[in-house]
Formats: sequence, C-alpha cells, structure tokens
Amino acid sequence: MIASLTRFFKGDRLAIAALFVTAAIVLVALLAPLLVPYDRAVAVDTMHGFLPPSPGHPFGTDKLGHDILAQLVWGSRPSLAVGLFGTGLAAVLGTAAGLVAGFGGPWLDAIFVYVIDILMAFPLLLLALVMVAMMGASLANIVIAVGVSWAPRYARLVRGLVLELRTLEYVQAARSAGASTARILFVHVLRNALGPILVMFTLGVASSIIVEASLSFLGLGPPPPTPTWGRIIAAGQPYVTAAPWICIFPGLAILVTVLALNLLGDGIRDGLDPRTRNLGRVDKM
Amino acid sequence: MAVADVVRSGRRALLALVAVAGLLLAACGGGGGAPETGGGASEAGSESTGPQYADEIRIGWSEGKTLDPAYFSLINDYAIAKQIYSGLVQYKMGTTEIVPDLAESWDVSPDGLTYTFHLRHGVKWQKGYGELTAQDVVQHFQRIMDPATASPFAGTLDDVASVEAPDPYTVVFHLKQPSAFFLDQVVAFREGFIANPKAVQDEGQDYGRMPVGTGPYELKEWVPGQYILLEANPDYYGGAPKTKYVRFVHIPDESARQIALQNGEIDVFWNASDPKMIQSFSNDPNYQVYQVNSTGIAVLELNPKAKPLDDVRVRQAMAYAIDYKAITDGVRGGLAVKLNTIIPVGMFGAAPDIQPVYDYDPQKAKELLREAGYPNGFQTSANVLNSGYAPDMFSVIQSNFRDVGIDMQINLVDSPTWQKTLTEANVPISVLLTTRMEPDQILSQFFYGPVCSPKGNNFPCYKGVDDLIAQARAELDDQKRADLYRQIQIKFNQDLPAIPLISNKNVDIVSKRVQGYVKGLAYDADLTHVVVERGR
Repeated sequence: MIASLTRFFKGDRLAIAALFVTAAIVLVALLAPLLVPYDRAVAVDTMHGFLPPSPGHPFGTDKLGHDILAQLVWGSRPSLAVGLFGTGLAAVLGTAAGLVAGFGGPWLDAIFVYVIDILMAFPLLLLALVMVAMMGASLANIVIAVGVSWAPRYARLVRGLVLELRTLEYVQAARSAGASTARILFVHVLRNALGPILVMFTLGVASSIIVEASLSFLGLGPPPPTPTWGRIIAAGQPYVTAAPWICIFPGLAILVTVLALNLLGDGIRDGLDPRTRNLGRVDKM
Repeated sequence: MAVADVVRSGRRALLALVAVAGLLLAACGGGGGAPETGGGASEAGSESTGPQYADEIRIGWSEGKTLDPAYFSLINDYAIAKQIYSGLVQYKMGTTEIVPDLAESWDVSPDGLTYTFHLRHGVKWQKGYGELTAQDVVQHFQRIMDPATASPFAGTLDDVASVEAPDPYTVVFHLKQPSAFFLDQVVAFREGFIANPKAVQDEGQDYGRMPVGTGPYELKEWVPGQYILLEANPDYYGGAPKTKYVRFVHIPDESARQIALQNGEIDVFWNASDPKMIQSFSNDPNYQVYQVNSTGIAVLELNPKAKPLDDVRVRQAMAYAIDYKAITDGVRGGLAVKLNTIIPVGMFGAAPDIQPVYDYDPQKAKELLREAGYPNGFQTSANVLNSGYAPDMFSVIQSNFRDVGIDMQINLVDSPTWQKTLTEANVPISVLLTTRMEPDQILSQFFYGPVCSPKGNNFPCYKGVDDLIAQARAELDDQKRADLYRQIQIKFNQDLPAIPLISNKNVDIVSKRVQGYVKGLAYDADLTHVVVERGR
C-alpha cells in the first residue's frame, strides 16, 4: 500500500504524511463517541474552570469547566462536516453550473460567467457570513452557505476545462460517432475534469474549515453546546494572557488540519499531473 | 489554462497557511504588550511638574439607538442621556434616594393626589433654546403620555390625570389615584429626562440624534458607529463641569475595550462584565475598579403557551434544576448574587426570606418532572441575547437542564431580535435582562396583565398579581406597601411564571489618571467633577 502511495505521490513524503494525518483526524471525528463521552465535552463544571493542562485535563479547561481535549475531539466533527459536505455541495453545484455554461451555448455561457464573476467578487468569508446571518446559525445552514459561496470557483474551473476539452480530438471523434451530449459530458469531459476538481476539493476542504472556524469565532457557528474549534478560540480569546491554553490547542488543531489538507492537495495535484511524472519529491518552495 | 490555474492556486496553499498562522497569532496574542503601555502612560504623567488635566474624558462603551427620552430602550442610551438631560427630581448618585433636580422643592397634597413642583429659576436650555419654563415640562410629559407618540413609557404615567403650569415656575400633576412611586416616574431616569418640546418639534424624526436638555453636557457631535462627543454646558445650573468634553467611543467588543483602556485610548471602560478581566484590573495599581450592587436582574422567561411549560410542576422542576452558584460564582465570578424573588435585594420591598424559594436540587427537579408526567424530560428551545454574559449563563442552564432530562436548544440572537422575542413571546423560553429602580416598574412592565404580548413585555402573560400590583401602587404607607410586595413575591414564587436567576453587580474600570468619578446604580455616572490627568 505504501509502495503504491509512494508511486502515486511520486515520492512526495510530505504528501504521504499529510494523507496519514488527515486520515487520523477523520478517524478521530468518526470515532469521537468511543474516544471521549459527549458529556465530557459539554458538561459544565464552573468550579473547575480555567484549569491549566494537567494529567486529568491534558489540554486544560475553559471558563465553564469544559475539558478542552474533549471539546477538540468533538469539535472535529462540525469542522470536518462543514469541510467535506460544504465543499462537496460546492463541487456538485459548481460542476453542474460549469458544465451547463461550457456546453450551453454562448448566451447561457455569458450569463453564467457574469453571475460567477459577481459572486466571486465577494470575499468567501463575507458571502458565507451574510448567508448564515440571513438563514440562521445552524450546521446545515453553514454547510449550505459554504457550498454556495464556494460553488462559483468550481463553476469557473469546470467551465474552463469544458471549453478546453470540448475542442480535443477524442471529444470531436465521439461527437461524430453520434454520442449524445449527455454521454460526452459525463463520460468524456467530466471524467477528465475529475483530477483538477479533486485537487480543488482537497484545498477547498481546508478553506471551508477555516470559514467554519471563523464563523464560530464570530458567534455564527452551530448553536451551543455543539463544541467547535472556532468557538473554543472565541471563548478563550478574552483570557489569552491569563489562560492561553484555551485558544492555543484549538488553534493548533486548525493549523495542523489545514496544513495537512493543503499538503495533501498539493500532492494529489502533482500526482495527477503528467508533467511532473518521475521527478521525485517536488520542491515545495 | 484552467489546469494551470489550479496549479497556481495550489502553490498559494502555503501562502494561505502563513496567513492562517498569522490569524491565530493575532487571535491568541492580542493583549500581549498592553500592560507596559499602561504603565508607560502613568510614568510620563509623573514627569510633568504639576498635575495637568486633559480637556476630554474618553469613555469606551457600546453605541445605543436614540437620545430621545420618549424612546429609550437601552442602558447604553441612558448612560449618555444622564449627562445631557435633567429631570424634575433625581436619584442621589449611587442610591435610590430622591433629591432635587430642576424642581427645588415639591409638595404633596394630603390625599396624595396632587404633586406641586417648584422649579429653579434661570435654568437655560442648551443650544440657545432659552429659559426652562413650567410649560416646557408640561409639554414634555404630555408628549410622553400622548398615544400618538407611542412611547413605551406611556404606561408608567397611567396614574396621571393631568399636568398643568399655573405659573412659569410651578408644575402641578393631578393623579387619578394615589401613587406610591409617582416621584420615581418623573425622576431623571428614562421618560423623566425632560426634553425641550420646541427642539422635539423642530427636529422631528431626527430629535433622537439632536437632543436638547438642561444637563451638564450638550451633544456636540454624533458620528454613528464611532463616537458621541459632548461639550460642557457653561450655563448648567449646577455650574459648568470641570472637563470640557466627554467622548463616548463606540467599542462594542469587551476585550477590545480592555485593550483600548490598557493602551490609554480611553480613560473609562464602561460596564465591564467579565469577572476574570475585572480581577486582573483590580490587581493593577494603574486602575480603579468601581463596583455597585446594581438593580439589574436576569430572569428566565417561560412561555405557558409552549407545552409543557404550562404545568407549574414543570416550571418548578426547571427552577430546582438550575445551579445558581455556578452562574453567580462561575459565570459571573462573584459579580452577581442569586435572585430569590422577582424584587432584587436593595430595592424597596425585597423579601428574599419568603417561602417558597427555589434552590439547586436536581433530585427534586426529577421527581417533579416524573410527577408532571415527563419522567424522560422534554425538548424545548430558547432565544438568548448573543452578547454579554447571557450565552455563558445559558450554557450552564442548558447543562443543568440536560442533567434532569430537559433538552433545551439555544438560539443566540442579536439585540433587536431578542427584544422582539420578549414582546412577541414567540418562543418557549427567553431571558429578561433589565434594570429598574423600584419594584412597580419591574412588575407593571413585565408581569402585569394589561401588558401581555403583543401589547407589552409580559412574556409569560402573567396575571396572577394584577390586583396586588394596583393596590401596592396606591398604598402610601410604606409598611403596608412593603407587606403587599411581600404577598406579591410569595404568589409569584408559587405560580412561578418566570424563574428569577441573578441580580448583578455593575462594574466600571477607570484609569488612575481619572479623579472625581462618581458611579450611579443604573449604569450611569456623575461626570461633572471628573478631571483626567494628562498622560504621555
């Protein structure tokens, strides 16, 4: 397995490590109920607030006495949920829009491009923020907000790929052989676009996690008591000098997750790119 | 080309990471160098030969909505209005004792139905609106009472039959029935701040941003979202204030206010609520911490329209389920005391020793739930103000409720939504956070039949003490009135339409450079004698 991974990532050990770190984080999120009881993450115990890290509470406790480690474990769930589902939604919406724009003729294309450009003019976080503020703060709404905010990027990517691919000889050949538009779209074009979409997806998950953390930090995350990394940082922010552990650990969790996902995305991109084949480890800088 | 795009965006990943790391540092390292700055400022001050005073007091606070006394809804407005306006009478700072303000003296007829106020001579309105006359006062109160004004305070003047001005320095109120708290209704607080009727007419809709009063300071400039600048009123009847300007700087975030104070950008940090931060300031000789037992209370509002909250056993179970100590000591760090009854200690009529009161007893809560037919609890939801200590307080309550099987979902909402929630009573649970100076205002504005939603703020639409409220208001004998309030509190706790949670202490943090600061009970302060030693 390692061998085939090494082959795919072309010896990029950083990317392989990132894959394992990502897998570990996903496992923690999936197995949270087995690792720490939910009660430990949400039970309030104000008599034991602001405890520094100790064997009983390896990452300390916050103001209300929540165990930070338990909160981090359970907080990985909303973070990854928004990362995966939000980005997934964006990929589906964006890809669909991109395919329509690329294949729908000049008028439809022009309209889609305008809409995409307008949406892309808004900073990602701002767009998500406005949507969550309007729809109400819940996990499902954050997923939708992230999905819709990110979709234009996929749409632009896919549209570009379609325009590029539809002129290629094998697509022309399929067309002259009588293949339907749907068949060309899904069998010939989409399959070849999957690589870049996957790369963008991996990087998108990382950005979505940051968006979710930022929304939670701003008080627009999933409603309490759902622990999220952003909310732990927000709760610790007033005590950053007195009780720095409250925001250091969730900060590190975000840092490590985002770093791993970005390195993984880079690795996948290089792995899929025929031009970097057999170059060995790719120099990141 | 598009593929190349992805390649480039991938290269940007590391850059993005650096940005993330930077953000984290920013979020987690905000307060780093601040204390040195505070110390530096005071050292610089001591270098000068004699004390030199700044021409401005800078106060960090959070912007309100209007300075029109007919429409105040936020304590943030009131704090500024106190500087701009005077009333007929006023509370002596830091007490609920009533002392003269615009009225030098007043007489009450033996039957308690006629109040005659004798005004000070020569009081000048700000901004050249001439001398204050009794007619101005009459018009002000008529405006508040006029249904067309739609002032939320019209109800507090229900007992007033008419107001008249027999001569330019005499104002006479005729009451429909004796009212024990009549002076509290015309005191310099909320609707009792007397606004210039002519200015109200001149400015129309904009009056709330161009107020004209007779107080020690007048409004010079209001830059929304940034600051409100007040200038000393040289004609103030009590003498011009010592410092020429007061600048209220809009800093909504408490930790930002903390940093602004430490950096010397403001002199006064108004309304600090975080106990840990307050403690760190208490230990720092560069700051003075002013703390009063305010009459601000927090009450858990329960909506009987939302089953099973209509069952008194369920409401009692909820009251027993709450760990009040975790709120007063944990969330509020000792800056609050448990509220046994709806009237906070320190206010007239408070009877914390009555029965029943509800203390933390989860076992009893479970029994009551079982008795009421909810052995496995139930699901409910609450709209909670998303700022101050309310979210933390509700985290505790939510956790307490979970222990007895009640699953309460919390929706954090902004201030306008929260206020609408209280009026419309459209959710099972909310929280009442209010500051009142006497018990009648709490009861008749929040637990009185005629002000059931949507007409007023009686969220639970409680009618159980309506008669007693009216009786107490008309009872002029203090002893008898106190007894009526005692009965009200007993009945209230038996019916438990809402659960009294805590009453708060109110804290201002003031730089050592500031002298002469006098703090009031209702989130206000007397600034007329304040001087600020020049820093730096």
